[in-house]
Amino acid sequence: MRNLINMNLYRMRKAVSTWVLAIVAVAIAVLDFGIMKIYVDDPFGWGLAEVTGLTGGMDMMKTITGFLRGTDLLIVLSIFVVIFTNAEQKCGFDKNIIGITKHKWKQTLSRWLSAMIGVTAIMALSYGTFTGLSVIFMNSFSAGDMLAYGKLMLIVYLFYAAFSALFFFFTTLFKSSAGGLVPSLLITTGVLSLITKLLDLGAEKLFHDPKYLPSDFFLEGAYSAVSPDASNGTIIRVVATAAVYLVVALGLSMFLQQKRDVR
Amino acid sequence: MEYLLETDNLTKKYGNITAVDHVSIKIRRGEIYGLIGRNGAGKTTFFKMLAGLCKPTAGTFSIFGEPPEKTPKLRDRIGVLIERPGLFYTLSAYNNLRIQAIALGMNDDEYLHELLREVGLAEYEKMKVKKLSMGMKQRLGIAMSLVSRPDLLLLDEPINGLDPQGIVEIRELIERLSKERNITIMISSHILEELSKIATRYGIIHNGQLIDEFTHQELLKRCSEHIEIRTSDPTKSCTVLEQMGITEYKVVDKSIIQIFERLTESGDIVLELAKNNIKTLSIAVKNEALEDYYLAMTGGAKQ
Repeated sequence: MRNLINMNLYRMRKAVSTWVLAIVAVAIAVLDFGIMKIYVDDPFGWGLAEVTGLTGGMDMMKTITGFLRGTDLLIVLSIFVVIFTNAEQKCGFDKNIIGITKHKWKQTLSRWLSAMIGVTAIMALSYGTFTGLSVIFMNSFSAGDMLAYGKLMLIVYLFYAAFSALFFFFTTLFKSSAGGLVPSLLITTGVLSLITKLLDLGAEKLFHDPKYLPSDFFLEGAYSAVSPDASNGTIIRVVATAAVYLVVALGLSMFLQQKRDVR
Repeated sequence: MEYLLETDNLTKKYGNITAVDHVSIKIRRGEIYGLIGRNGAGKTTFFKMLAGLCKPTAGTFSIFGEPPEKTPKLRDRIGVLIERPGLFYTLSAYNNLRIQAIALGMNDDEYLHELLREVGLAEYEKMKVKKLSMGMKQRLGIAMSLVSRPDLLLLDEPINGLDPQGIVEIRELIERLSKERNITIMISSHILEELSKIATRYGIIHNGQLIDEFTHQELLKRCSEHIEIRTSDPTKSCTVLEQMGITEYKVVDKSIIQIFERLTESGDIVLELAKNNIKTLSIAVKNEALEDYYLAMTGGAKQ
């Protein structure tokens, strides 16, 4: 399996799409930082800092919270995972290597682990750029509560892993880039959240102030609940939701690969 | 006799369709085995089962005397090219080979360059695959299958879609691999004429079934001059021929008997059949072309 991961990482490095998406991820970080800087500095005196809560001294937590709210990076990552996952199948390379492991699911697992290395690198690049720009260009910037920041980033990372597993599953299931991209983009662009909001409204009408809403159990719904101010109960729920999605999506992908013939 | 590959009643069904139907083949070390069949005959499915791309519905096979599931490392000793080569088109020829080598845990860079030289692509190693001609891609595909230094090479339709020059290049490459590297090769095609130039043994697959197997010498013999006779009772005719001491004959298409010996004695044969109340409907001395022979075989099986 180590050989397969090395092979996947080699082709990832050599693929132009990887570098293009990495550049886009950095560009997103720069753009988002620029917008945040305008909010904080408020050069036109519109009171944007008060509206967005970006007042007082800036620290890691304050700056990154705004960045993780945006789904731009998630869109980039969904495209990356789908392209990377489907590449072998699309060109027929999987036929060259599928017979070299006894269990085909190992190839799926190694492909996902490799994709996660790519996701981690792109994520680190984007967050690193954003944080770096904040440190350099934000006035009176301080580290803040690094423990809380680290905890938040771990949760965010878990969600990125769960989203990646979900995109990976769609691509494996539909065996095409389009089949993987359409549901992935429906999630990341927020189209699905419109549907879950409708479901929430329906549930509220039916059960009158229910404890849990349908959106709580959708991955993007749980992700939107991630914030530095979230209660412990909420954190446990969202972490459990992400973990279940991660395990189920990955497990199903491996099962599909093991059972399917390569055509 | 050492068999590198043995299949025993290998069968693959897709729903109600039987793609490969109880195929039993034995391939000896050093052979070039040509599997001939029309499109959809079951050649690719047969290769895919051997390559581990799909599981047989029934039957077993062994490679180097071992069942493949027990020793997955054996797969390293098999090179596979199924239909069109699986290549990353946006990467260079060299990078494609490198990826294959890494997957197999190999780190011999010089060998990869040697492979490119061997398949005549040394000058194009930095060129993106999408810019290579079809014949070059096919040769690169063969180079990919050679990365693990295999003892057995499975080539499914490697000349499909190539121009005459490309076909010659692939043929020469396969011959060279067999001679210089002593690789046992199983190659499939629907063009018997081409396979007849390189294969040492043949199997004809039709509707998923292996309907005939013969050596190169036997092929030449079968396609050589023979008496072709059509009678009112082919079954009884065979008994009469055997009573006459004629053993080298075969029944084609259920009613035609081809006799490969005593070619000057057609009159005696007709006379003997008449004595046994068998009417001779037609008789001729023929020299069959390879493709005609193949069509007769598969046409007969169809009926």
